[in-house]
Amino acid sequence: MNMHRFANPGRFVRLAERILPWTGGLAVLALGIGLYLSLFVSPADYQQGESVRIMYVHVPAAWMALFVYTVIAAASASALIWRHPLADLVARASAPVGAGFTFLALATGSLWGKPMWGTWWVWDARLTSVLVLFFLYLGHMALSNAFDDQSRGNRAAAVLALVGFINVPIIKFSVDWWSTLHQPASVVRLDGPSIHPSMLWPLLIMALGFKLYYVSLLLLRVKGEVMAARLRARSMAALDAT
Amino acid sequence: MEQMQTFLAMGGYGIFVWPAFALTAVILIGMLVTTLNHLRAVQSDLDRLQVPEQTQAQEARQ
Repeated sequence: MNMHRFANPGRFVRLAERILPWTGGLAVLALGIGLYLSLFVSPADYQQGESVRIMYVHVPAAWMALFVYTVIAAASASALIWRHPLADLVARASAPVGAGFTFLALATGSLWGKPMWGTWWVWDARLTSVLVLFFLYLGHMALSNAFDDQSRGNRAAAVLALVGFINVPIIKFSVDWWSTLHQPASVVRLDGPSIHPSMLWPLLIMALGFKLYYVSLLLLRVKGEVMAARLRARSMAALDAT
Repeated sequence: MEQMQTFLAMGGYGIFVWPAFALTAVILIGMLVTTLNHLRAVQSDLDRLQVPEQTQAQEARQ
């Protein structure tokens, strides 16, 4: 497929407007069903009791924290290598959302850690590497807005995103490489998920809702970036005309 | 009523479970609202810039 087919910003905005009602509607549906299942239908855990319900927001948020960073890294690579005009906008639009998901993963993890581990926070490999991820997002946001010429900021942020990508596999495998309080993966495993379907389904539906939410928000935010770029170009033209 | 109280208590973990869900709602809705506000602001700025251009074009036609 020709990568630049959807590179035309005007065409992208029209396409986004066609897709948005679907992703938005499905996001609301999945989050609604997921919320109902995770609060009312799924059972309490035999070890964790009702506190296990925090997992239904914590795990999807943590997955999205990694997923959004991966999207930013991929977009940054295609911005640096192929100069794809929308790639920078996807990265810019994603960074604050990724930071939001990462903060949510940290905060909900902390709320679960207090009753279950007896502490809000430990400086172990998993928690520390996720905190680093949060700072990478903040750094990306700061850097992409640090220059008057936005394209220079975008390029600097893209380099940061690619260098920082090393943190993603570190987060994923941190629970296997170092001894940690955080439990190892129980859903994404080679031998299949090790949690019961009555808990797996609410979790997967919530995760789907989070992903659809991100896609919808991304479409809206990239549209905003396209319009902001148009606004800058138009104000320049208006200045030149006077 | 008692059922409701049992549900809200979450087996004693209510003070941890409810803030987690509330924070999730606040962040997800907050990011959406911020995005929509930004879109609306940019759109109105664009419209404001567009108006003089149109009047210019009309003036040019006359």
